[in-house]
Amino acid sequence: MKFWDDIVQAALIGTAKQGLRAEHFPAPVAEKLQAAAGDDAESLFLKGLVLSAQFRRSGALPVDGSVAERWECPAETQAPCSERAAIILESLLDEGEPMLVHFWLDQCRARKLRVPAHLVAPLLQFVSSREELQDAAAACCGFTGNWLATFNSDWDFAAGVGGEERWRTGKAQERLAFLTKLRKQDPARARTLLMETWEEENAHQKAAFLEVLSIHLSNADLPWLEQLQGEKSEKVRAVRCELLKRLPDSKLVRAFADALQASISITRSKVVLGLIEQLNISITNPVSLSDEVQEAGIKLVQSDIYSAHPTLAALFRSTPPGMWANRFNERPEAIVSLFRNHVYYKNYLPEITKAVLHFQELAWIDVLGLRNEAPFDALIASALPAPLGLEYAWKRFAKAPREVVLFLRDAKYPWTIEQARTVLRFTTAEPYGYNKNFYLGIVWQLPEEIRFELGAFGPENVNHYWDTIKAEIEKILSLKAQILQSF
Amino acid sequence: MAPDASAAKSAKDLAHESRWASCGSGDRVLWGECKGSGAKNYRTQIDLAGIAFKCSCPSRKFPCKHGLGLFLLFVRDETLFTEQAPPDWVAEWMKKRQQREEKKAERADKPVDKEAQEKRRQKRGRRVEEGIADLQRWIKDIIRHGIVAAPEKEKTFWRDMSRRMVDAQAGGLASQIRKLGETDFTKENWQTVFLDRLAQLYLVTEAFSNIEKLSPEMQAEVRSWVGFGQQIEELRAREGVRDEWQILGRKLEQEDNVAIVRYWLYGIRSQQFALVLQFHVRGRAPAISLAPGTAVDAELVFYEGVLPFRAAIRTQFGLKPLSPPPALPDWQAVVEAETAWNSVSPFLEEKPVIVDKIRPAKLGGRWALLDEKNRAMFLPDDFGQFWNLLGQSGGRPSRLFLLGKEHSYTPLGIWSGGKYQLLG
Repeated sequence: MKFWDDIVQAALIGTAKQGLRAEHFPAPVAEKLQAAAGDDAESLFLKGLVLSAQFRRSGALPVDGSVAERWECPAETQAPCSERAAIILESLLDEGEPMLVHFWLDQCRARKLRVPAHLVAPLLQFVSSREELQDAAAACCGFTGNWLATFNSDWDFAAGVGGEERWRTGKAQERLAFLTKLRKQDPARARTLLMETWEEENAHQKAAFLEVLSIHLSNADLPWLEQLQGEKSEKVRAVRCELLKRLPDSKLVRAFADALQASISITRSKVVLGLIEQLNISITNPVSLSDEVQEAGIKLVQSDIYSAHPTLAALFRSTPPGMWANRFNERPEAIVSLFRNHVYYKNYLPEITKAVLHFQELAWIDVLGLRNEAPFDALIASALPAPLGLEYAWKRFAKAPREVVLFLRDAKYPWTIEQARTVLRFTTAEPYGYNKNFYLGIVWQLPEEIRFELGAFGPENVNHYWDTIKAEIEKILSLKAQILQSF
Repeated sequence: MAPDASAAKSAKDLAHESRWASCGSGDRVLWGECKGSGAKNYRTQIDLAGIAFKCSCPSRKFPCKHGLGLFLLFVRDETLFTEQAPPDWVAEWMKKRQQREEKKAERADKPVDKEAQEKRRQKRGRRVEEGIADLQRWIKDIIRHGIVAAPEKEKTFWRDMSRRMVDAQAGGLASQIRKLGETDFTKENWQTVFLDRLAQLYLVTEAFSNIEKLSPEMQAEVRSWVGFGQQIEELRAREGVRDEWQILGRKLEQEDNVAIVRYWLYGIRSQQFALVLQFHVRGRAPAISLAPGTAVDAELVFYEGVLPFRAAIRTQFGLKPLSPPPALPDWQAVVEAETAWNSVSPFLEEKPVIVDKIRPAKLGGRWALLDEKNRAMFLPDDFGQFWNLLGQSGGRPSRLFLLGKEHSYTPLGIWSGGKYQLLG
């Protein structure tokens, strides 16, 4: 539109310096302007401007879009959630309440439903800065979410596993996000992709990508991790070592066990005229360690400490007890008894306990008596399979309510009405210690019907703050009930 | 509907069954008793036909959090509201509302002093003419010295002339001058935006100076652009259009302390658009509240003009479900319609259109809207609902309700999966 460009140029300079004559305007405009020939330069220009703007607008045509890049989202196969559930989600997003959004998403995911299209973008935006919600959101956003994520790197967490192009061509952060997501959904494929490009990555990326294998780490990763022995980068070697330390079947953990075996001696002897057989244990300080063990951070320390030699303590801590103990063909109970009854060696028991919990050696938990009269320990509760861990925790509620409540909050298993009463009797007595966020955090566990009993709880001296908290709990439980009914 | 963000937040807190001692619904009315901090529950009621609120709480906000909370609860879970005969306090309020409506109608029938009215009109006309003469000199000065200096102008340059127009009782011109000064001079094409606005302003002044030569409809249009409001009596005397009005869009603007809500409606039988403006001072009750995405059975009266979009609601009869309106088939039909509109009214304004089978696509590095014949219009650079549009359309052709002109169109709503969803 040259005529418009000329008008803009003339307008920029001003009629005092450069006027426009009628012939500079488009012919139909020029024709109309003849009637204003006697006007001053500004009037003539302004009239020409009005007519030309109208001329331009009326002549506007759509742009040729034949070269436009088009994308189409695959048709959804999952059914959408109910309209009522969608209305609730919309208001939760609007209210900015992450815990309840998380609860909503869990219900949606459990029923294999999806968020309706009009809420996908608002949901992705909502969770983009809330990592703890991203997996649940990605699972509920259907193909629309996967598809939208391909256009917006802030939503990488929702990109489908099919987006391997992103792994090959994306920026470092995009690739890391993709690999992390893939590892959560398909650990083997994630490992394969990483193996394919491994040699092309720089040390920094290698370390970052390798760390992703800590998600769903298993023996399937072991052969490749073992192969990476020759890696030059210290950072990469450190990440590999941390991964191997978590795999009891790795050569590294076996090397720890070998080192322990070399230091421990368990023998049988006869006492009381040879009538009774007795087990004896002796532990010598290690005199050498393999390079592999030393590279894993366990150094050979010269020490005269008999009670808990630092090198041995580290080895006990890093090795599944079953692995070294089985080599002596003795029952775990007998071995534990040897340690427990020895004046110095009993000091290694806390390290052995750490290894038991770390490697979740359930048999040893009982052998060490950790589930019996021991005080509540969140590590023990977490190491036990869910029903046993919960049983362990509930049994210790009276003695350690604070610690148990925190464990139960994070365990995300529903409570019976009686269990809920037990917790609320304790927490509502301390309204300043357990606020709205705490109750939002236990929305999964609390049965909705407890909301009708809230009047029975509260601190001894009822105060305004408790009233506020009570109203919040009512609201949370009412929303939970609405969410559950809406699905 | 909420008067401010805090009322909206509080309302959400109240949109739970546990916060209400009772709730119910009847013919075009909702009510509930909300548990408050006092001994007595707050009595809250909503007239669904006219969307009006009443509450016994002492809040000066309107609607108050209880009214909004009750409405939100109704939207979330209609089943909580059992249909029954309204209690006395609800029935009484509804009766009073009806009586007020009748009185209003009576007042409208009262004769007005035509002579005094004409005198006032002439006096104002003279003040506007004087103001317009000043404004034309000001516009010519800008053009004489060149618009290259416009971005450097102090705010007072625009504000002073805008105030001069307020003094001259030409509020419409004052608003256009404000808009001219608010041109985003950092944008690449600011010159065209600025010149379009300047041309529009000049056109209105020229048209007003020659108003006696124009048709009555065009005179009304020009007067409206200058800032003359149409007399409510004149408006009431006009023939109304009863229809199922689909509420397709809502845009909120804030001017000083006044909130302006622009509702875009489409009459399913009359096949015409209507623009209903709602002005209300912060914290005061809006006369009407419309819920986008629904339809209302109502009688509208249109303001006089050559392209009468602007309308007022005379009577609301109740809510209706939304039905899909007809759409233009492609962008070619849109530009033809726009040219036809321009030939009727030269005043520049974004026009409402419903267009079928439009899909978002990327063209030359910009997001565009593509029709079935591969012709495109562009989305404005500052369109904030892009991801929503993309998510709801899935990149597939969809029917859109848009506002725009020339090559730039803003989607306000989309028909997706058999439902209408607002964008924004």
